[in-house]
Amino acid sequence: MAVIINYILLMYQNGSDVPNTNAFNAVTNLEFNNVTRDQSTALSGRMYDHVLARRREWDVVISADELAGSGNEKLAWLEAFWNADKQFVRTDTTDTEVIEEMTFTRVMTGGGRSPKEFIRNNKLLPQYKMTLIEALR
Amino acid sequence: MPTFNNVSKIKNMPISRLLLYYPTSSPTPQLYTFYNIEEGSSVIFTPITVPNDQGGETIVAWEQKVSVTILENDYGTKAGLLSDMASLRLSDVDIQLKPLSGQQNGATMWVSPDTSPALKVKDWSLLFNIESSSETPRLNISITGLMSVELFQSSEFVAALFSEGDGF
Repeated sequence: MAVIINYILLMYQNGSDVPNTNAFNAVTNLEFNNVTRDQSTALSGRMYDHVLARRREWDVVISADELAGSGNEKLAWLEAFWNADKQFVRTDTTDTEVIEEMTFTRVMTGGGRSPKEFIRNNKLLPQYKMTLIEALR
Repeated sequence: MPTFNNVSKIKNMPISRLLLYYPTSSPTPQLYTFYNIEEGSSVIFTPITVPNDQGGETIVAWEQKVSVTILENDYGTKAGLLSDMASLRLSDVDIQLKPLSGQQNGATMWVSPDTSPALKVKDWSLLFNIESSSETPRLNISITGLMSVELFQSSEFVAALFSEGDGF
């Protein structure tokens, strides 16, 4: 393992199965806030601003230093994470201690095709680029 | 104890031998060995990087480029060489380096990624061309090898990758 830059823990659960956890060394892990607002001017001229939803988002890139090779177990795990019923993340850790499930945050990844790309178009060098979205109150 | 400033520890090491391994139906690979390596041949390790979130680049894999010119026109004896090069995928490549000074005659050193069993990726592709003139029958071979990051992450692997043969 190279020097750990961004240690990220992911967890998924299908139905009521035992949750499945894995640790990754992300090349990129950037956090953003995302707010949906309803802002406009009423007929009376009064301006209003309603916050409809707040989200926290992480742009995460897990690259070929973790996922290289055919039959890579971590890549297969990420595909299972993408397909899972429920997804969780934990980024506030720098060690590999046993993780309690309560410390994870429920996130969404969105649907569609798994966000996999291949460096230099080489199928042995996959890279996972996904956005994890946490719904805030 | 060698130090990084001790230039007397640096030996000039040209490529003296190239070994190509091709898969066969038996467990023993087909081996082609080339001795007549011309000046200017090289082996280069280049990192493959992606941008990270610290403003820098992270190495995610390594590429080994072998560029070798061989004095060769004896394709009768090496009967399957051209067809193997044209149609098969290399299974392994070994490079032998020849120390020029400070070592006894016959000393050898190997560049051999095959000795790193923990490598998750070791993949080769080969291109070749044949050049003939009145003075030099040449076989130009360029090989690109893809290696996972484990290549240089362990001192044991590095020592095995650049292994010392006889005479050291």
